[in-house]
Amino acid sequence: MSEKSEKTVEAIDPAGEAKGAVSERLDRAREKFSGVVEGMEKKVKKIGEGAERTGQQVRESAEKATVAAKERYEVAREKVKQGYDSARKNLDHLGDDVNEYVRDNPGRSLLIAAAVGFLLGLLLRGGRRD
Amino acid sequence: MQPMAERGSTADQLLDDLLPEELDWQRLVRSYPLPALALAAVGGFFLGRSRGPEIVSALAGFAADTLTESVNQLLGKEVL
Repeated sequence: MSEKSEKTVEAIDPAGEAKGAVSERLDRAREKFSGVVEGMEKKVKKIGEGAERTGQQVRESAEKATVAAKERYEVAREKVKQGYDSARKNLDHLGDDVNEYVRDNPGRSLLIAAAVGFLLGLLLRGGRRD
Repeated sequence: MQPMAERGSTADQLLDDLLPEELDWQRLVRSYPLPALALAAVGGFFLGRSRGPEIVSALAGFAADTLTESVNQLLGKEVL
């Protein structure tokens, strides 16, 4: 009887060892897997933070560009307005001067205007021969 | 000495001769200066377009005659 039981113990032991080894490997694989998952989570988190930072920077740059563009637009608008006002004043002055000159020299003004028109008509006549 | 405007310049006298006497053109020009100028320019333009070369040659002929007469008077005999 004792011989038989020794044989049984010998037969059971390798199975237990194998089970232990498998379980140990499984545990190691689980640990590795959880390590990989943790690493991936960290990386994803890092990427997300980076993207958030980049987004923030892009937003700030866009805001700065918008402010700069608005300032430039305002400056350009002011310049155009000043130029327009100045040109209008000059035209008003010119109109006043012309009116004054025509009132002072009616005949000469009419003859000058007619002569200018005559020359223009002669020049724009083209190759007409009639 | 009277100012030019009151005396009437050569241009005023020329226009007085050219335009009808009933037309008070000086009053009209003083009342509407810019339209008067525009009208004169348009009139001149159409005149130049339709009869430009004839008027230019007539003026050139007149100028040549005047010049010839002046030179002849200056020299005391008919050289041209």
